[in-house]
Amino acid sequence: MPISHQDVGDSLRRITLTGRLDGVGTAEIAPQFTALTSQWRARVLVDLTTINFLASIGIRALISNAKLLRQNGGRMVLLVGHNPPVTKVLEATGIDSLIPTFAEAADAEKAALA
Amino acid sequence: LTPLDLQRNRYARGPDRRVASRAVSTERRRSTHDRRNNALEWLSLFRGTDLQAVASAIGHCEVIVVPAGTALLRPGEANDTVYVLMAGRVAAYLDDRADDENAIVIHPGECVGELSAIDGKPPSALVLAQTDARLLVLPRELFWSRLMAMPAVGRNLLVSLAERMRRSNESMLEAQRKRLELKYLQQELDVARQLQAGMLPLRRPLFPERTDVEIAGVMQPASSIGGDLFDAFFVDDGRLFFCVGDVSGHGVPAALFMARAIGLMHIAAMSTDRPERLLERINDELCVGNDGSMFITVFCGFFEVESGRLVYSNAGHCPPAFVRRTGATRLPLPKGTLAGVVSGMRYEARETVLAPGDLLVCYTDGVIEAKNATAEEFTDVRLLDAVTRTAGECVEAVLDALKSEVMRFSGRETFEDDFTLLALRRPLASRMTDLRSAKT
Repeated sequence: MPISHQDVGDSLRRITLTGRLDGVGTAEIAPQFTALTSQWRARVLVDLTTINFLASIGIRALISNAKLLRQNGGRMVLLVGHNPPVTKVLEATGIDSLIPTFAEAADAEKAALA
Repeated sequence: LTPLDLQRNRYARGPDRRVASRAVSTERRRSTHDRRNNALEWLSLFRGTDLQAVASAIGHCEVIVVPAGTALLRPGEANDTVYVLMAGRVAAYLDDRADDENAIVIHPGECVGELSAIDGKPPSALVLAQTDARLLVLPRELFWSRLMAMPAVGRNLLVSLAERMRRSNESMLEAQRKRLELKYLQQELDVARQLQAGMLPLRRPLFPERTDVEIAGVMQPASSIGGDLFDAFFVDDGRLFFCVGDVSGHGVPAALFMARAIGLMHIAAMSTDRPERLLERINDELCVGNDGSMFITVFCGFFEVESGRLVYSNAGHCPPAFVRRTGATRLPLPKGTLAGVVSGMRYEARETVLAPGDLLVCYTDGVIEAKNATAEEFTDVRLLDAVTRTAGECVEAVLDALKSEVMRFSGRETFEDDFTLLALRRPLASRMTDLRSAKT
């Protein structure tokens, strides 16, 4: 399954996406991704470390879920690890200035819980 | 049907009979018997018949219960049974696809298989139990020799066949109506596509009256209408505004968003000479009422043709190729977030000067992400290579050569993503003189 999650207490939900976030890949994860963020009122860490392609449709899924989360009083951070293709897209599109983005898991978790 | 799929019973030995066979009074037994005959009366095939005669004719016939999804009849497979549906839901499908769109529903009390029982030919439809279903099984022989001999049964059969035919006609008409609707929808999409193409400056040459700038664009949508855009127009005699953008997604929603963006940019470009202010303004405007989280990446700039000064800004778009005599590089971009997501974003501008002969090639990610048979991407490295090789040609030829190269690379004529290119060159002074003298 290209999407999985793990709750760290009540305060943090870690959602791990894998594979390609292109049209097909995003359609596959979108319903569950939205369900996981819309039923959560706290912090969400989205792990993109093993994503090997991030298309604009995938960015849209990240943005709309980050917005949803914010409306419900939560917040999203992204963990990209050392993933050049994903980092490049997030930087080029300026998403890293909308959704806090981190290379290290510890930093991402700290920021998510801050 | 395998024995595992169903529960069998004899009509005359159903659960009612078991109740009746206990030590109960004759009265009770008679009423049970009547109830069974009432059940017969309820089946449309036996309406108005001599129920006693029917009951004795079908006394040894099986009553089966089949699970949902069981195929009772398959097109082309011999059938010598008429099934009377007693409970549950069964549907006939006239073509191979068992979707509910083209299903003819058989209601309890009606029968299936009677057509092949009449003409002895295999059934023409696939008949599936949509839910668990209880069915009375009438062998063809018994159907003909005992039941059809009763005038009322024959009449009932004709009535039910007529009803079935009407329903099938209605379903065919409905299918035809849908096909027509789809055709209209496709025609409307074609119109939308033409309207959209009309919004982009696709004519060549773009500014035949200008000798001081060369500019051309190419746009190929992935679906019939797309979300890429480019534009170029003079805001005054010496200043050209141009932009390339990419709306997230494809199809009608992307096209509508694109149309809105291109209109807003047109207005904004007339009221400011700063590209970063223009992007801030269209970002704020596009954020209004954008619940679908659509967004757009845009590169835009103002080019002063006389001096070659280019002031540009960027909202999350990929860097244009900057081709000079010394080679091709990525134009350094100020950082800027894609537009339409969060209002109040700030953008920055940068500037450079195009020397005579310098060429700028803007593109959307559909170009560099075009894949070949082994899923390898074209990349901006190949793009820089390609434009360096053809940099001496006129801008139209540069773009056409680049497009052909991407097609050759991907091995296909159509692209997975919208594909847009815009090339701008400051002509060489000698060429400008040539053109000027040619004009006079």
